[in-house]
Amino acid sequence: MQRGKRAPIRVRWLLLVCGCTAILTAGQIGAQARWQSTQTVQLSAVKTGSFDFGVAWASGSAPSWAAIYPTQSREAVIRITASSTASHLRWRFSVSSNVNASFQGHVTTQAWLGATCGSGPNIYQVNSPSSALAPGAAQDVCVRFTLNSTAPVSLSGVQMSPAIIVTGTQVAP
Amino acid sequence: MTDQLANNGRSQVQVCCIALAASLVLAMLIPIGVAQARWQDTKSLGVSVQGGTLTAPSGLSCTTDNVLLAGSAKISWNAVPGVTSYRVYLRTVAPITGTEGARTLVAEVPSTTTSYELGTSLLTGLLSSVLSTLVGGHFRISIEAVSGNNWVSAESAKYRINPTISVIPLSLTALACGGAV
Repeated sequence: MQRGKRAPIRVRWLLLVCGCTAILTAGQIGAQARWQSTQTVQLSAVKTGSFDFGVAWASGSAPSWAAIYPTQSREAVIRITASSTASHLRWRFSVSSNVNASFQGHVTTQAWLGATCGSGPNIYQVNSPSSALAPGAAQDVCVRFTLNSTAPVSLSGVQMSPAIIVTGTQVAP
Repeated sequence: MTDQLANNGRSQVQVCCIALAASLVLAMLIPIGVAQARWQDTKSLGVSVQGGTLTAPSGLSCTTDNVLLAGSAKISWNAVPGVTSYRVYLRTVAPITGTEGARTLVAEVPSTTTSYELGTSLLTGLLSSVLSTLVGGHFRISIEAVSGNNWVSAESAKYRINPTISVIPLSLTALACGGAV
């Protein structure tokens, strides 16, 4: 009688451990299986709020200026109106300008809060004071362009087209 | 060998410290950047204006005031828009040939002034010989408009000023308006 070949004890132990592990893992996976469901509750539609401002000529139309000469100034009053659907958001403003290439370096721009040039706080490239503009409120700004005394004679008879640029920045609630 | 190992250790510690510091700085800056985010918007309005053109002064006129042996002529002109000053020029005109001399700037007056008074003493200094006035020598006056440092108009039309002299003493004693040239 030939005794059958049996695997060594260490291999048998290894097989036993692997088997147990497999059984336990399968059991755990089985135990974790759950019914899952997703329900959607429909809410009423909601719109995002708006936060904006507008800029217009205070007089209602662009000023009609007479020809400008060195050392002379031309002034315009613009009106900034803040709008928002949220009452807690406010704007602060600064004014800058841009002129066509031939006039660059020959024009000085200034801007003040208020309808009279030279009387209110300067806001040219500087933010308006902390008393920021609330929604629905309007603020006049006076802007002055001066043709420098050193302007070259080549600018005589040339059209100058300045742009008044208003930059608004939200003030933290 | 030992020194090299020690140096390597120190370098690693330094690298670790720098990395830690950088992480801390980034961790602090990122929330600040987020907190500073604000709405910002830009609107603009355009307007236009013409660069002016200086016109030559016009409408020259003259009045005289001759009292005893002292005379003067007051030249006036029409205001020019956009000027900062006016320049007053004088030329002598030679007798007989009528040749005009080079112009001499005698005054620059502010834009608020549209007249200039010529005195006999000023004209005497310009004449090569007072006696030349006996045979037709005279003066011409003209005006230029100036704006800022660089803008100058064309010269106005010239206006003639006729001097008269006294022989004893030999001097210019009076001026007369001669009209536009």
